[in-house]
Amino acid sequence: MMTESPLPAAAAAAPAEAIVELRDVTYAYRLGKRRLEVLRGITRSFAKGGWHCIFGASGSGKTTLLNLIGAMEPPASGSLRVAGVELGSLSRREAARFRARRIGLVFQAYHLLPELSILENVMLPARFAGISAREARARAAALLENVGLKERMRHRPTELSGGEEQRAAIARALVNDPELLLADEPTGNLDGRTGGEILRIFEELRNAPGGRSILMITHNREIAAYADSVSELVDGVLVDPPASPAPLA
Amino acid sequence: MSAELFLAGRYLKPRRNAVSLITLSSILGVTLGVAVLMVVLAVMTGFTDLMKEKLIATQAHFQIRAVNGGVIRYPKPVVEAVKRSGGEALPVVMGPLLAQYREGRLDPRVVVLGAPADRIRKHLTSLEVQRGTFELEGRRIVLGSALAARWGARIGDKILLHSVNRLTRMIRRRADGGIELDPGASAALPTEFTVAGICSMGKYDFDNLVIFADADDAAELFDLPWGCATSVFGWGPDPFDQRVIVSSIESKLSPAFRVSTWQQENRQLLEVLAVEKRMMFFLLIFIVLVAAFSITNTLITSVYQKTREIGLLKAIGATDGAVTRVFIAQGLLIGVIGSGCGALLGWLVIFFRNDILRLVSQWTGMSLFPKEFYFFNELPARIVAGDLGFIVVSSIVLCTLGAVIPAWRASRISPAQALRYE
Repeated sequence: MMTESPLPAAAAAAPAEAIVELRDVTYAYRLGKRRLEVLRGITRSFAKGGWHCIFGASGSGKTTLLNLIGAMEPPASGSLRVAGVELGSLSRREAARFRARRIGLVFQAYHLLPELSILENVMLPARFAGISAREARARAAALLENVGLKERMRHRPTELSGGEEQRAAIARALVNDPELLLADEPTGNLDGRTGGEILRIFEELRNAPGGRSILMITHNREIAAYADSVSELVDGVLVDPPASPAPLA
Repeated sequence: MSAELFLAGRYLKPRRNAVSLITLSSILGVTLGVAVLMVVLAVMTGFTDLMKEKLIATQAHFQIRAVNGGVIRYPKPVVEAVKRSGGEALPVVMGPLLAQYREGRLDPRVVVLGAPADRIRKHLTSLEVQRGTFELEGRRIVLGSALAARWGARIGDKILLHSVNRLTRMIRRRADGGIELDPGASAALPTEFTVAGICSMGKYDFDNLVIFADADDAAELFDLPWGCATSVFGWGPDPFDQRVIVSSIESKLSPAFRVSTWQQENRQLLEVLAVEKRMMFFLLIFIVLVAAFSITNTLITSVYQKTREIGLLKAIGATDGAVTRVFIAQGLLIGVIGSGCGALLGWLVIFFRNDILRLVSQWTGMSLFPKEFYFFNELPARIVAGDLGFIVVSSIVLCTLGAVIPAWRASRISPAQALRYE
């Protein structure tokens, strides 16, 4: 069972080297003739090499923000730089290339392709990034071994437990050695113990030499506490969380 | 193998869901379309080949006639021109006649072919004497088998042949436009011939039309001078490519003569066969077209069912082009697999066609190709590599095109929207 802990606030000032820089970023959905503003002028930087968390209630726009940072959608306005690249200026093709090579994505629902084996799932981003099948297979096998799935490589996702699927999804996110790992509620579908295993993998990634940048979103304060810095998304704006946590509803 | 082709293959692999079953039915549609096209075109090709063989065996490779439509008074120079060009020549007297085969029974649909018996038998290779002998001297004739059957003629029967030329000369036109018997003309009596034999050329229209007679008898029937010919039949070394020999003969003859090949003589028939074959292809390709639409439906369903997976593919780095290629590759794979299976099925049907026909005939009690009309015991068929290639390529192209709309639809899916509602 995880314990509640005070949330470490994200640095308000821009760090020396930022992996993600948001400047007055906005985003809105169109619902018929209505315009629903989800993100309202977010300005924030996340330091390279750290484990950052964006915390917020369900429906607060966390996933939307993650999609923008993951180059899956352009912001409505503002500037968004990830790993030194201004995402707003990328074409669809360039954005896809950027996602393939520089971003790793981990989802709450794992999203492993049921038609493929675990090994093939992990190989896929590498193949889309133009890496040869042999090299992709070698990388995928090594990563699966690292996350303890060496014996499960030939299995289909349906034959794995939730924790194993998420470990495979993390391996898939890392296969192109991305600079930034984006995790959307990575423990949301897992029990406490299995979720803890996933968070330990993130810790190892953060602590590894030349530590990887991790940006995780969650609605769970306990999970958020694992990160080096936490920002809270409230009414479409990123704020530092209160020093003492309020009990979650 | 590219990631796109690999994924396309995996999406097609039969699994425990309906899409794979629909995919299988799409493949089956292409298979049937290709097989039917292949069988029909192979049979039509075989039939055309057989027709050509029959045509070559029942007539000259080329004929030389006078341009003005008249007779060739001195055929010898023509024969020499053919021989010097590397061919063989046979002057013949040929034309329509009126036959009287029983008291008062006339048949206006006969053609007399007059030539030496030995030369006819040498060149018309499919000629088979069924009854009697093939002897033409001494006012003897040999009848085509269908003609003999129609008349009920037997060996030794007497047949009267009326010269149309002579009959024509018996009448003249009056000043007032009417017609009257020419008082100066002698009465045109028919010539009596004895049926020496009954033969078959293995071609119904020929056997139903032709009477073989001695060349001099034929000339007399047509009231032509001795030694002349209505045309000169010629045979060259290659009946299917006669450009060299025809051009050589033409260069040796005066412009008063015209050389026409058996293809030109039968142009209408050959064109009909070619048009029929093209028409069959055009009609039957619709089976493949329907299969291609089925692929479109299958893949559109697949795109909707896999929206989240497509979003995931894009999220992990697949470009719009890569996603397009995944679905195009599915259409391509269905086309390739379906065409391959169709070609195999088509080959099997063609290989066992006669056994299949026998079974169908036994079950239905009907003869599908009556011998009196088709003159073959087995269904002819020949697979032409070009036809097969065209069928397979057309099918693969149609199937691939069938995947374009779903592929485009898939490529436009936004990864964020597809993954938003997990």
